[in-house]
Amino acid sequence: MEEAETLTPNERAWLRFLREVSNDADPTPTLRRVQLLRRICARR
Amino acid sequence: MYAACCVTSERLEMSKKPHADTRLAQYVERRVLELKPKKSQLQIASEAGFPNPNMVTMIKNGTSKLALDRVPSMARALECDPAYLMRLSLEQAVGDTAAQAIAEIYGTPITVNEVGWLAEIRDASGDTDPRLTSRSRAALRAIFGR
Repeated sequence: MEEAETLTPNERAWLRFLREVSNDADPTPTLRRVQLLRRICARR
Repeated sequence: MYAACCVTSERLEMSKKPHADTRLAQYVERRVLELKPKKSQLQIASEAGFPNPNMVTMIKNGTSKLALDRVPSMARALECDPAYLMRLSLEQAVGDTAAQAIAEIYGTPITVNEVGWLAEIRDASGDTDPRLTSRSRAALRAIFGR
């Protein structure tokens, strides 16, 4: 299991926001969601 | 008179089921339902190591809390992420605000799914540690329909 202290501040921000938008429901990174996520990162 | 009666019965119900509104009680209820084709509540209680077979029912309906030391075995019995169950259990044990204070100082346990998200973010960004911009926030909201 990954430790919280090994995360960068940016990664912690991503996690915090992920919890917020998913209502802290521990969402699975499904293929569809990952594809959308990759699109966000690719557009940079 | 009727309203007073309703308030009294509501209070009585709350005192009988003080943890009914917690996210843990709702999550355990959901997992028990999802596992129904596979195992019974009694099996779950036994796998979690509860001497009282009614314990799962009591946690589910909010009569009883899930003890923190039972989280690992309960997570195995419910086939769910132990870090997630610990988060919910801590929230139930000490309340929202105290759980947030603990998380602020010690950090929160990270679930397997969250590790998966982080791995995807690292991979998709070429491990450049991307900032969470307002555009990425908007895109994440869109992914979760919020």
